[in-house]
Amino acid sequence: MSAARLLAVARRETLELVRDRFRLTTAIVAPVLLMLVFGFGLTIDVEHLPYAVLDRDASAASRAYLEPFAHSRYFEPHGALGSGAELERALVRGSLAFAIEIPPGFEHDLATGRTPAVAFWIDGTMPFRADVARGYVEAMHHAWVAEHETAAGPPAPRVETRFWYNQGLRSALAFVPGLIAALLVILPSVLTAVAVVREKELGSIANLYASPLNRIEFLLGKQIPYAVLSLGYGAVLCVLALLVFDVPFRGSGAALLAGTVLYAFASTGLGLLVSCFTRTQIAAIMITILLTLLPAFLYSGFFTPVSSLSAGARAIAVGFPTTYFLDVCVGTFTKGLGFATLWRDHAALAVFAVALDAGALALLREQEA
Amino acid sequence: MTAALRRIFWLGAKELTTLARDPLLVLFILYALTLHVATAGNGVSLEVQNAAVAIVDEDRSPLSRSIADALQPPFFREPSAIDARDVGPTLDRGQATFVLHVPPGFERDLLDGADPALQLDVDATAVGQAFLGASYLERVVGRETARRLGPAASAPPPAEARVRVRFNPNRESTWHVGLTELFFVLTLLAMVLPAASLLREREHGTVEHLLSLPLRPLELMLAKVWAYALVVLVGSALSLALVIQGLFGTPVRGSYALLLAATVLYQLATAGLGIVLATLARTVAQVALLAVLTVTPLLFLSGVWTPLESMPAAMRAVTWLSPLRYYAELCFAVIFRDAGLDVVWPQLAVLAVMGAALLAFGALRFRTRFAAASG
Repeated sequence: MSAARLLAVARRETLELVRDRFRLTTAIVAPVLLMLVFGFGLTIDVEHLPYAVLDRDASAASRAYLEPFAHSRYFEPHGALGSGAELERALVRGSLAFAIEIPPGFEHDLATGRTPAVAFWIDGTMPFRADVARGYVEAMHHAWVAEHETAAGPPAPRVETRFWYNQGLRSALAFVPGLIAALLVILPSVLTAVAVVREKELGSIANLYASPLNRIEFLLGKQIPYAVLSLGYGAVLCVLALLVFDVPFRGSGAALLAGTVLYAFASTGLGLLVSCFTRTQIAAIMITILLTLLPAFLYSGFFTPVSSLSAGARAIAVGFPTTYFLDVCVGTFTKGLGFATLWRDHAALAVFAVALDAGALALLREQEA
Repeated sequence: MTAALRRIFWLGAKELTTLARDPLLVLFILYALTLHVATAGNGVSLEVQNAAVAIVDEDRSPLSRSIADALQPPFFREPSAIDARDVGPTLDRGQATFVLHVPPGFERDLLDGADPALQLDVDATAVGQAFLGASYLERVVGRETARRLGPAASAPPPAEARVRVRFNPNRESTWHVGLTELFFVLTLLAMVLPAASLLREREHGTVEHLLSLPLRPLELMLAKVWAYALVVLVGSALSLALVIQGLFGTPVRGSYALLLAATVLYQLATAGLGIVLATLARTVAQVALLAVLTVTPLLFLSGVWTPLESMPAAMRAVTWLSPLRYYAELCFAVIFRDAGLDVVWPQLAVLAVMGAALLAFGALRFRTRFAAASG
């Protein structure tokens, strides 16, 4: 292997990228744009749930029961419903997260000690939102019960809850570092895969066979410019996280840097691997996007902690590098950790970087033989 | 006119033969629409489900054991027992999201009327689970305590709440996630396949051949659109039948005809968008970048993953531009809530307008860009 030849390939690839104004501009704009869109748009703080009321009692008591809902920031009243049929239509249309139905005689039953039942109809289309809505309305109801209870029930033990790392339960504190991990796999892997397959599809890879280049020099030379680009992305995204999204950095900068370098090679290595068994750019793009985008968001621990995934999904998580880099990002930013806790993740990323490159090398060799 | 239609038909048929010659791509399309949707739908849920709990039990009383036993699927994983000094490392490494600490003498203190407190430590970087999971845990603790120690009969509450979840009463998350995945794959394929195919002709120089034939650019474009729309449509129907209904058991309560109409319109809209992207780019590599930049926001800002009402107002305004928003609203309404045309006609109308506008805009740009390039 010759370092000079390797660098020559890297230099050529860099020049190609720099002279392709369009690709360069998009490559620069992409991470910033996606970070802003996701960072502001992706929130699971469920608020302003739209609801409507079917008050069949229309009494002072029913109005008193309903009033706290109208004043909570978790709910947003969407008017009154006239009949059960109207309630049904509103639910089917999907314009409500839930509807409240107060039975006739609510006030009278309360006064005479007969337990009236308030009905809550929740739209279960999106189970996550339905769960949250259910949690909120039950809490509202219990607060009302506690106020109106005549006899005290059995003593309930106190539970002192401490929210670690993120007392205010801000989505951004977890999602923004997670986004860095997701974006740093999607963009570099697609760019790298296309860079190689393009040569195959257009036939310019024939130059490789005619040149004294060997496979390692070719692949690493192709990979290095995109790994460097990926580091640049990392820097830009961290600056955005700190300045625009106001996410504090509490842990070890060295651990984050080391993780980013390893991850840059792992994610571009993934692109190389895909490029080896695809012949057309279309196939390479689609396979890379599908291979990275969904695991990056869904299996890596971004939305759902890896510890809560089902067995099959966990297997995918374990076999995908983003899972480990997400630990490093969330760990160093929000949890305030360093190498002492995160070294396992670094080790895993190193294994991915080497294994993916080795796999690409083996596949390329096989095909050309 | 009929001659033009015949040309569009044969050119599209040619496109399908080209596709058939790339077995990897065909295999990939099939995989994406079936196996991929199946794995993703099975694996992921945004609700509190299988939450990992660890217990530091320093009481070792019947009460503390019955609290531990009450933590069960689907909400919780079977809790693991850990030492008090391991709480920090367990949360740091994400091995558990919740750690419940039962102090020594807890049950005795409770019976004595002292006021003992349980400690609940939550990894709040798991923002989706932290708040709801903590309140579920508190409820389990309250219920178990009342069951074991409470007086036999307590006064009934003044009023009760009857909460009913409609349309998916057993909170089957695969119903929702499966469809969301299908939307994603469908969007990606419908947008990228025709766009990349046009650019490939251009990169290989074959677009000049095609344009030198007695063939209008519009016909070339429409041929690509129908051919790939057909492929994706057939694939999506397979996915709906085999995976969504077959494997996940999602009920389709509404009309198939309505779903079909909406899917065709949605595909035309996304194909139009893809062609606009293709005219902005010069190479397949460029359109790849543009596609990533377009598909990701399209998916995540359409209200399928996260509820629209909690987005900031400016972002919510942007979602009105996403065709997926209307398509997803319509599909969820028809599939889960048996909505008919009387309910979803606004979404269908918007999709039709968007489809027509995007295709027309794509055609306009295509004619000027590609025809100029060949002339």
